[in-house]
Amino acid sequence: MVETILNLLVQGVLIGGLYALFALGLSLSLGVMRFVNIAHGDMIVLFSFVILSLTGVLGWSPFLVALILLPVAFLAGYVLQRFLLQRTVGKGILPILLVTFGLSIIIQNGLLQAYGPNTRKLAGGAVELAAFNVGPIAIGLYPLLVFLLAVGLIAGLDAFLYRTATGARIRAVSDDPSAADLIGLTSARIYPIAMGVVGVTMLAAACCMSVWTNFDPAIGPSRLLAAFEAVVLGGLGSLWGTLVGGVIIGIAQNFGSQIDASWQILAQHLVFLVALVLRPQGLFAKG
Amino acid sequence: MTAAPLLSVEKLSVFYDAFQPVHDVDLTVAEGQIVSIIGANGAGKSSFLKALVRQAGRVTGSARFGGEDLSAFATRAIVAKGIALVPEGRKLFPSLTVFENLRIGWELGRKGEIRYDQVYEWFPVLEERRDQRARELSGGQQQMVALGRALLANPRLLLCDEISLGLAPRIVNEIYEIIPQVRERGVSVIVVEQDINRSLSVSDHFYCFLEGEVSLSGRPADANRETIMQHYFGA
Repeated sequence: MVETILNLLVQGVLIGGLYALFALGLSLSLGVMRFVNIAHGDMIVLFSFVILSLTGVLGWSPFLVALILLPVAFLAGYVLQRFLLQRTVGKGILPILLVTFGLSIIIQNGLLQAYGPNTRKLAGGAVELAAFNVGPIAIGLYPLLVFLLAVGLIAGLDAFLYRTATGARIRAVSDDPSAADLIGLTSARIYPIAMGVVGVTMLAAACCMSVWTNFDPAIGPSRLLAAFEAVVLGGLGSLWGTLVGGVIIGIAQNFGSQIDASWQILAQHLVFLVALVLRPQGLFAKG
Repeated sequence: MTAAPLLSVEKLSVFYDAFQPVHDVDLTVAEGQIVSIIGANGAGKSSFLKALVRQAGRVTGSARFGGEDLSAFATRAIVAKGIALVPEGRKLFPSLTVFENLRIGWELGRKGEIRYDQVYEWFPVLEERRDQRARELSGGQQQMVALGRALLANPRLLLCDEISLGLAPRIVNEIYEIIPQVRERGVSVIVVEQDINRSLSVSDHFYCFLEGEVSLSGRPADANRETIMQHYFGA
């Protein structure tokens, strides 16, 4: 019994790393730029299909392809913000919701046209199957690496936001865009950089997801929901909180699935709702 | 032949849709001059300053700085050319530390002789609290950060919008002691205030705004208090 619970906890924590990766970009856009990107999950799926295509053409490992795509992902986020999303800044919540909702529909249907509705999965090689035991607990090497990647990315982003001049500028515009405008620090210059960083985190999530599990053109919204719950659970503006939120979702899913397979997602939502009632500002909300 | 003014404003008007807070204002500021703009609440003083840094609504008329037409530039370029604003209400970034707030001024402005050590000399408390978040400071300390941030941009023209608002007289004295020292470094200053005595005491020239228009201007020494009050309130 104890062994089972321990095993569920450990596996839940590890899959929480994947959820944290999904949520990291959303945490930045929601907590720093103060908007919800409805297309967040679909953009992750789009990157997964780009990696799929390039691994097919080049015959390379998806990890190597993702590494090479990093600057492209940054540029994609930068261009998206600079030329599309920036037009909605300062115009209330509705325009950004409508624009990203439209983007979500375009990506889903575009992928459906290009790749069809079938589920796909990328082969990660030996690392995907490798595992080791810690006492009675079997730990997969790949889930552990994904978790460590999530931790590393969060530490890197935290350092970027709180230890660099560019990070300070991003936080300044986030604090008060109109005050920033008054002294010549315009969001039009700063937010695209932040969105470029979001693009990089999306690519990391896409690569890890497409090796870990199946994906298809329609799964974006469910990824968005999990990411959104992780961000809200952790508290807006807290990157480490997002990791904790992802872990809580992973653990809830694992314990739920022990009751019944249909309880996996239900348990995730129930925990989210309970947490929302008890601590609506999230666990580590930053003022 | 006199030198061209640093700032030359002609028939400047500001519009926010149908509302016009500033009407056909003419104003000049010479190199190293301290000019005060006085006027009651709603007289158009802040809108005028915002118009200079391209942060007001629609602006007509002309504003030339160092001979260049400011309407050709965005706010960021105007700051880089040497105009820095200390906004009304301070407008700091509350989650950033004192140093991070100051650094933004330094990064956006011209690089010049006003550096962090000079600002810390003027406001020693900022060095003591350099790692503290701006939201944790008192109102006076926040005003010092706002002034320090603008000064670190090494402006040729410093725009101070109601810097005494809501502060204790002792703190206001401390802040106003800096203004002549800033001028000694060749910086021109426009001080916008409702506090007539305070602003006239430091300025070489003043403009009184009434309902968006210049109702009186001149040297503080040449204007008597009664005349100023008449043009201040329109009585």
